[in-house]
Amino acid sequence: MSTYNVNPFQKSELSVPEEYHEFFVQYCQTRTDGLKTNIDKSPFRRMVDLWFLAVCVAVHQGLKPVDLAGKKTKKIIDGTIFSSDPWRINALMLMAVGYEGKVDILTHPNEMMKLANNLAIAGLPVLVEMLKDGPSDPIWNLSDNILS
Amino acid sequence: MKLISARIKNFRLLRDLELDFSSESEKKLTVFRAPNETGKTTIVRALRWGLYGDNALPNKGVKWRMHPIDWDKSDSVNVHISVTIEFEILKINQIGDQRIETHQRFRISRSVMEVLDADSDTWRKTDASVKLFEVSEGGVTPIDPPEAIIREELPTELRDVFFTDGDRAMDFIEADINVRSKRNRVEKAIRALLGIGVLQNSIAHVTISAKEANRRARSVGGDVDLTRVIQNIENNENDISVKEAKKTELTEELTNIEEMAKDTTKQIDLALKDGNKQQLIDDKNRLLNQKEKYAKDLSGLQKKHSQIFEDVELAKYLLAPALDKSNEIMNKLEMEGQIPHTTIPVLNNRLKLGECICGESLSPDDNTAKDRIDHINHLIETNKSADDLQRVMTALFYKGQDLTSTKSTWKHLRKNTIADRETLALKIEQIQKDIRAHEAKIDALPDTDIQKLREFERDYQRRITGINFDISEINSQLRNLRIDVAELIEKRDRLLKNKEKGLMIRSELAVISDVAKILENSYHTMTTTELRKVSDMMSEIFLKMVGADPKQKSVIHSAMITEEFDIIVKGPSGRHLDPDHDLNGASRRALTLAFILALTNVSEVEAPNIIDTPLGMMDGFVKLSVLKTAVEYSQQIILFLTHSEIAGCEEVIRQKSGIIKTLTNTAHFPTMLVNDPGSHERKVILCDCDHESVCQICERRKEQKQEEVA
Repeated sequence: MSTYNVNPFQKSELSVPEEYHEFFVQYCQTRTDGLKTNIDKSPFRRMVDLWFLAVCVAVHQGLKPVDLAGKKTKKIIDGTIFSSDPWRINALMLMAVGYEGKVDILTHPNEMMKLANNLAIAGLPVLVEMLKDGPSDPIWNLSDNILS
Repeated sequence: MKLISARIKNFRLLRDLELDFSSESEKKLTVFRAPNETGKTTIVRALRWGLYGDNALPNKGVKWRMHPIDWDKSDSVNVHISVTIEFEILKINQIGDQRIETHQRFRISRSVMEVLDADSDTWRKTDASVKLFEVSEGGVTPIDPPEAIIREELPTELRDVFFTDGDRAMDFIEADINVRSKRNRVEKAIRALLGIGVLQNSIAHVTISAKEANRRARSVGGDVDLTRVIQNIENNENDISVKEAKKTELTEELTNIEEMAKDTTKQIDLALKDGNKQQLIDDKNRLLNQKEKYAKDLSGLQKKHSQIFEDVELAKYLLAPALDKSNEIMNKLEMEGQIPHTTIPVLNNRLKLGECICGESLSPDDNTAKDRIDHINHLIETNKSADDLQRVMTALFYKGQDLTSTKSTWKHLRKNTIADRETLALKIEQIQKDIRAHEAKIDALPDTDIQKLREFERDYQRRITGINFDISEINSQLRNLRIDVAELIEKRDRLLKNKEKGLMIRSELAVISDVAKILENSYHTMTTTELRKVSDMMSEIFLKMVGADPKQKSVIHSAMITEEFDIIVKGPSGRHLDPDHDLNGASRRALTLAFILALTNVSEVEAPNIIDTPLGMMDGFVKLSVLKTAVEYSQQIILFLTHSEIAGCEEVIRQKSGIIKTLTNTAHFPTMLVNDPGSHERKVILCDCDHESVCQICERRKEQKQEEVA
C-alpha cells in the first residue's frame, strides 16, 4: 500500500459463515427472490450495511472476534464496495488500531479485514436478535434495541 | 263524508297497510305517530288517489311510479296496486220541524296493475279500475258511476283543502310560489266552496245563447257591413274561448310544474339534510388522494429510517470504544512528531534548494558538500522503509477526525426519524378512519342524484317563467279581443237598428246581455259574501291559534282574504304584515291551517281534514293551541305527527283522540330502530302503540328519538 488515496480493502472480501447468509437475504433490500421489498421488514439497503453494523455492534458490546478458520464461508461482497463509503475505510482502520493497540496493522489490509470479518461474525447473531426482539417489524425492533 | 278505514296495497313502500279512522263526534281526532320517512306523505297520496284517481298524483300520475321501488321482479313482474277506502256520508232530511239524520256507508276500491320490464327500470300501467259499493246491513250494492258520489261529497277543487301536507299548505301564502299561483289556489278553493257550479253553468249557457242570437242576426242579411261585423264578433268570441281554454290549461300546467318544483326542492333539501352524496364522494376521493400522498411520504420516511442504520453517526456511537483507543494512540504519535510524516519531503526540499537547514551548502557544484549530500540521501533511503506506515498514519490521523473529534448525534437522528414516522402513522390512521366514516355515510344515504334533481329544478323554473310569460301574453290578447268585441257589438247594434227584422234580434240580444249582467253580479255578490265569511272565520281561528288578542296590544290584529284573493295579516293601526316576511314559521303554518279549516267550516261540507305534519316548526303555546283549535273546527281530523310534533301535546292527544297508532319503516333498522322487524323488504308497518308507548316493532334508538324530538 503506497498511498492511502485508494481503497486499501479493494482486494479483500467480506465473508460470513454459510449459515448466516440467510440473514442477508432476509434483512437486506437487495433481495434476489423477485419479491417486493418491505423496508420495515428488511431495513438494510445493501448487504454491506448489515455487515458493517454487525461489526459496530460487536465493538460496542465488546465481543471477541470469532475466528472463521476452518468454517465454511460465503462471500457476500468484495471490498471495492467501500469506495462508495470512504468514511467506513477510516472507521475500519481506526477500529483495527484501537483493537490491536498499535498502528502496524495499518499496512496489512488483509489483517484488518480479517479482524472486521471476525467481529462481524461475533456481532451478527446479536444484531439479528435485535431485529427479531419486539412486537413490531424488524426496523422498529432494531430502533428500540440498538442503543441497549 | 267521514273516513272509516282504508287498505293500501303495494303503493310505494306501503306493501299492505290497514288503517282505521275515528269517526266519533266526541273523539274526532285520529293520530298516526310517524317519524320522518315512514310514509306519511305516501299515505296521504294513496288516499287521494283512492278517492280522486290519477289526477291527484304528481304530474297527474304520468311516469309516476306507484309500485315499491325494491319490488322483487323474480317473484313477479306484475304488481297489483290497490287502495280501498270505506267512508260514511251523513244525510239530513228535514220533515217539518223534524231533522232526520241517516248515515250511508260506501266502499270505494281503486286498483291498477303496473307491469315491470324485466330488464330495465321501466313499467307500464294496465287494468285500471274503480268500483264503488254501498255497504248496508242488507249487503253490498255496486254504484255506477262512482265519481258522482265523490264529486258531490269531496269536490275536486277542495282536494288540497281536505288532504293537506303541512308544507304544501303553505302554498297559499308562501313566497316561493308566485302571486298568480297563490291567488289562483285561494280563488279556486273559495269558488269550489261556494258551490257556484250552477251559476257558472248558467253564465256559460247565456253566453251560448248570445252567440246563437248573434248568428241569427247575420240572417237579417243584405248588409255586407253587418255580416262582416257579426262574423268578426263570432271570430273574436271563438278566439276568446280558445285563449281562455289555453289560459286554463297553462294555469293548470303551471300549478303542476310548481308542485313538481316544490317536490324536487324538498327532495334536494331532504337529501342535503342527510348529506350531499356527491359531495361526500368528492370528499372521500380527496381523502383517498391525500392517503396516496401520505403513502408516498411513508415510503420516503421508511427509506430515511432505513438509512439511519448506515449513517456515520451510528458508527461513531457504536465504535466509540475502539475509536477512543485509536484516537489516543494517534494523538500520542502526533505528540511524538511521527505524525505528520514530513522527513523525506523536507530532506528532498533541502537538496532541491541546495542548502541545509543549518546553513551549510548542499549544492552538487560544491565539492565540500558531497559528504553532506550523501548523508542526506542516506537519511532519505533509511526513512523510506518506514514511510508507508507513517504516510497511512498521517492520512488516517487527519481523515479520521470526523469520526473521533465530535460526539455522535445519532440519538437525535433516531428520535426525529421515529417522531416523523409516528406523526405520519397517526395521520394515516386518522385519514383511514375518515374514509371509513365517509363510506358509511355514503352507504347509508339514499341514492339521490342531487345534480340531476338540481337540473330538474332549473328546468321547472325555466318552464314556470315561460308559462308565466305565455299567460301574460294571453291576458293581453284577451284584453284586446274583449275591447274589440265590445266595439263590434256597438257597431252591430247600430247596424241592426236600421233593419226591421233586426229590431227583434236586437231586443233579444239586449235581454241576453241583461241576464248575463245579472248572473255575473250575483256571482260577484256570492263570491264576495262567501269570501268575507271565510276571511272572518280564518281570522278568528288564526288569532285563537297564535293566542293574539288585539285588545291586549298584540302585534297581530287580524287576518283577511282580499278581493284579489291574497291572504294578508293586519297589525296595529291596520298596518299590513307580510306573512312571508313579518310572520314566523309557526304563525305562517297556523295561518294556512286556519284558512283550510275556515274553508271546510264555511262550506258546510262534512269532510275530513287529513293533515301531514301540521305542527312542524311549532312549539310551546302555539303548537298546543293550533292542535286544540284544529280539532275544535274539524268534523273529522286525521293527523300524521312526528315525535317532535307530539312532544308537549301528549295530554291533548290523549283527550281528543279516538284512535292512535304508530307507523314504522322497516328500513330504519338498525340505524334508528332497536329491534330487527324481520323483513327483508322496505315497507311501512303499523302497530297499536299510542303516542306515548313503544313495542318491539316501533322502539327507536335513544339518540334517534332525541334527535327527532329536538
